[in-house]
Amino acid sequence: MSETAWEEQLLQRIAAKDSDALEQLYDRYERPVYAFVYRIVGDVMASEEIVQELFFKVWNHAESFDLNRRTGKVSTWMFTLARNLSIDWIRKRDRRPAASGSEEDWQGVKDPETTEQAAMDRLMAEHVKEALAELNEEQKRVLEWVYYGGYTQQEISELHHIPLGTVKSRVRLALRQLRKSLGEVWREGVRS
Amino acid sequence: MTSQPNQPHGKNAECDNVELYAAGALDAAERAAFEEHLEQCAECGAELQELRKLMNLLPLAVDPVDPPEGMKKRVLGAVLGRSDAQEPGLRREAAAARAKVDLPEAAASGSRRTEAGSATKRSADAGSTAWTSSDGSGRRTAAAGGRRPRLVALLAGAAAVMLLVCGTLAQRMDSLGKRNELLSGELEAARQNLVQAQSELQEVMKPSADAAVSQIISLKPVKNMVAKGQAYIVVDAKGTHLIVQASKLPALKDSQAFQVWLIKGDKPVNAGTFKPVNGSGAITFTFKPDSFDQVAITLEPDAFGTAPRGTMVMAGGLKA
Repeated sequence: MSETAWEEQLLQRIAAKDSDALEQLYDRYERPVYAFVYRIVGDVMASEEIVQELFFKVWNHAESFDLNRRTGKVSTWMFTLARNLSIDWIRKRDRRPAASGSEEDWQGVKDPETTEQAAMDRLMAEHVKEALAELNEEQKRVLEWVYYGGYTQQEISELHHIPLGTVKSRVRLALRQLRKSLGEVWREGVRS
Repeated sequence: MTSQPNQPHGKNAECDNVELYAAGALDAAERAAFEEHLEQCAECGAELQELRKLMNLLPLAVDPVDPPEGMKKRVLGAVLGRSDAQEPGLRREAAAARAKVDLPEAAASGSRRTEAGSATKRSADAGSTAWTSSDGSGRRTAAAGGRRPRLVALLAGAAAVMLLVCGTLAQRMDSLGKRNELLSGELEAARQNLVQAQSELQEVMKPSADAAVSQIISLKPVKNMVAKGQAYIVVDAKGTHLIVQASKLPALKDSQAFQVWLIKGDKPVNAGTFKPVNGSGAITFTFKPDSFDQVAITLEPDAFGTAPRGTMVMAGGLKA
């Protein structure tokens, strides 16, 4: 069974309130999800709270993933939920109005099943790090604000006194540059 | 998510937002507008698929961080122990109370805390266990006869309630403990501020060393006044000071006061107010070394003005 299929099966079992399945999913995601949440909120206590909230949602809403499993991947769902919860937390902390995307954001990602998902993830992680390192400082900053800071283009423009059009184009260029850098490896991974 | 029909954007303008949408840089209204556009634009749909794959790779690139010790037990315990109906607020509080494990002093009490947490979380279980065992003992004691089974059951029920209360109290204690830590942190910060302020104050209170008078200005009374006065500009290590003294000043009525001004161009800076004794008064004022044209004394209706309201009493010109 592929990693993706295994994870989907776990979610089906979780939807049927199988706590062993929840534990297995937890073991699979504890480290990457915690590291990701911590990267956004930078607070040990809040990170654990958010991880708990995430698994609470997984436990109680696993069926909502199941409904959409043809269009998504478990990891995408987990990380999207984790990011939304984290961004909500920092926006609340900074007294910014809530603005993270809905939980449905993850939908619509058709990711073909691949074998050896975890190994590929590790390999991909290295490529992504390299690609991020290749961005220029302005692109890195704007991506940091948007992706890890949960700031909207308008907020960035106002906070950092950058014209809105410039913010837009920096985000656009950053993503294009990432795609370009990741172009080959990424496509190989996706096609396998 | 609110939908916003009839957005003024044309199709091309919305197509430009696909990257911003994928990256999460749009606000709610902009997102709604783009999503509406997305339904009609196959190109953006395809583009978004690609961009999302890209964004989904970013979490992989995060540097590894060790989760706090015992997190799994706490998280799964909380998730599996609490009912769906439990208030999110309560869950947050419980999580906050449990979560502080990275501090050394908290590490020691970590297991205790988990137990306390589980006590509440599993209160239902604890209750049912208690009832089951009481049923067992009930049967046994029933043979011995009497009303003891009911008593035992009652006691077991009370014990279950106590467990629940203890668990809640333990959690409350945890949360108070955390609050306490926070407050002692703030207290420490305040203490440090105080120490700093005291040392600054000491510095200010030190007698001047090496003070030099840079100007002596004789203040001339305006017409019909007999007042006499002098102003000094003194410079020392702590700054530039204005010293004004005046005598033979007219008597004040009610809340009236004299006010000293340093004037540059037509902009007066308040250098303080004073009430003379037997027609004599003085004042000092420390200011940033800045050039002023004039020093003046006015008669004001009270001592609290920030701009001249009364009449000029005396004035003198300063050297540039």
